[in-house]
Amino acid sequence: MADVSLKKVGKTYENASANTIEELNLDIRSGEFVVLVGPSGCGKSTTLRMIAGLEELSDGQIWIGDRRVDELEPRERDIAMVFQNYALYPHMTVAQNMSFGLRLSGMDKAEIRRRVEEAAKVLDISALLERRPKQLSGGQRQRVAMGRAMVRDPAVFLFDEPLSNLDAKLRGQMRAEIRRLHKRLKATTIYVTHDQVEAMTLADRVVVLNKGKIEQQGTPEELYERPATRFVAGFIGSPTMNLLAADVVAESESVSLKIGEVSITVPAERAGALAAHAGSTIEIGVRPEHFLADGAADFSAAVDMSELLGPTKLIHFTLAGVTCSAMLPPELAVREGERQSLRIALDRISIFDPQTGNAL
Amino acid sequence: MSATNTLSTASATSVKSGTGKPATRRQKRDWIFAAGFLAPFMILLLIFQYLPLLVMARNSVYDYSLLNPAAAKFVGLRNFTDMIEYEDAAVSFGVTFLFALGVVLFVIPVAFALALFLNSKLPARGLVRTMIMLPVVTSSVVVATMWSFLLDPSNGLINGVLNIVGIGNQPFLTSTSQALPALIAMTVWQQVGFGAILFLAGLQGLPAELTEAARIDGATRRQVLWNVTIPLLSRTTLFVVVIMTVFSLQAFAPAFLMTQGGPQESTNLIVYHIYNSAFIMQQAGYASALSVVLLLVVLAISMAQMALLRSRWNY
Repeated sequence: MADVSLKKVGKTYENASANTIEELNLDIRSGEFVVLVGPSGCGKSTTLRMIAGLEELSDGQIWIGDRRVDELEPRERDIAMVFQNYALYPHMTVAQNMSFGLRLSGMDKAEIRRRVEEAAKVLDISALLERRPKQLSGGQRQRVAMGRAMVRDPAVFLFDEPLSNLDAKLRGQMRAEIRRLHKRLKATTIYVTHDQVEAMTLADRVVVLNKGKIEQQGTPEELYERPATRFVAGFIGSPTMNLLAADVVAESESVSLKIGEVSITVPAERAGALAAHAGSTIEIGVRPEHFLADGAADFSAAVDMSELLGPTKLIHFTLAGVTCSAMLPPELAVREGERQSLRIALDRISIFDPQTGNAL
Repeated sequence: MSATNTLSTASATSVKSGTGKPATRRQKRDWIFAAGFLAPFMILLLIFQYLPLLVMARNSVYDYSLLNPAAAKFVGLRNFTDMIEYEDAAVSFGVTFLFALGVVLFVIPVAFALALFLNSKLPARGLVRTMIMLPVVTSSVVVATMWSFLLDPSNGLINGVLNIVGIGNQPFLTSTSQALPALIAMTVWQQVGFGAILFLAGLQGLPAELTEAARIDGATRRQVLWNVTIPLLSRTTLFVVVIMTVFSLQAFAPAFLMTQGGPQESTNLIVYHIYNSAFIMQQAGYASALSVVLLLVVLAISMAQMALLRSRWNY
């Protein structure tokens, strides 16, 4: 286990018009599980590959523990990596795949066997040790790839979208398994994914990247409850947060939000903060579950579509020209075309500057 | 949509059932369409390849001369027993196999090294690629003529260079011990570019993650090459070995233009020997029998390749 520190890390490709990554600063504590998440092309995999030593830095430094590693070969960094496509050596058996790194290091054969058997037991692949990768399912291959990383007992584990090639059910199982393994090994882990559900369920800390820059970092709860930017608000959460333009209207003793034709009085405990923006237009972010159908209605909307998802019912409607979604109790009797009365839980909304997209 | 799926499933099933006959009208139409495209090539192949092969197979059991084909006499397997009885065929096949072995042994490592260079990010890759491909696309006659000048015992460039480093003139093509190595060197020089391009294609087909995973697992570049790259290229290597072997077994121009099979049959490659038997010695029946044996050897090598290429693993 070791701390990992990225100091002003930058990456520029020769043919790219802009920097892929600009001045990235990130400190990861020993034993922490950090997930880098973001849309395609945001630089998350490039960052991971720079930590692994598979990409060279254009600027900055990378430290693992008390060693500066950005000029070292991958083999000298004391890391292990699990790849999206597993990257198992097809001409070797599972046991040979797992022990490859240990054999290269000249480790004693008995110790190699002990480590391989122990990792195989933890990952429940003991029966597969003599098989070749071709004879394994996707989930089994992923376990072997994890086993290959585990046996080396590295300072840092790197995961590059390891679950992307698995089906939804297996992805859920493997997610739980990775979390369980991390609790057991307590190893510093950096995990890259574009799937925000993986990020939210696995991470101690989520780092949201956009266009090569960190948009926000924090615990999954912080990111979900208090997104720092409109981008994070839209990226974290499924279905995504509803973003609506609202005029702040301050009257004699109250503050109200005017969303299109709908006017909603803000409760006193939230009014103070909003009063500062009186007379201007802000953007409010409402999570789908923060539209409530509990009788006290702020507005009524025509239901464009209703989807029963099992534990919840998702309805889609249009408010002030914006298509919104609301997550309501499944037993709620509402059909497409009907009108539904809704209330916004104003104590839970996020507020953004419409120009900068930053939280207010 | 579902109707289309059903149709394609049904069509796949009928093809899989293995009767080979088109079952539906659409399949019949497709079959006629495909046959139309194949016909020109198949007709040419039949006339200029398979019919001559059949004639050759028939001729191999006759004793006849090209000057007087009407006097051909059926001799059964005598041409084949002659091959065993007289030494010329064994010597010629021996020389040819030695030639093929020499070519393969040198082409494989040199072509692989060149492919590694071409696959790297080192400068001058484009120039090297052009340089090594130039001999491949040059006519064998031109190459053989050029090398005859280079290897000339008295005025050749190679002897000139050897003289500079203090080595006396070498006989090369006029020596029984040096003629075959000289032909091997020339063929290696000519074919190495083709081998390198095949290896390069193999290298570029390897998933980058495998070498990256090995580097992270602690392998040095040499260990990555030895433990990952070379084993994963075994299919390509086998393919290059077979291609080079078959090319070498069919070599004619070097022996014809540079040595006329000599000195003392030391470069009497089998195709040149067949040519000599048919057109100089006027033993077309015997030449046909030699050709049949050569065909069987090449066929056996190709079949062995197909069997070995069914790899136990893939990526």
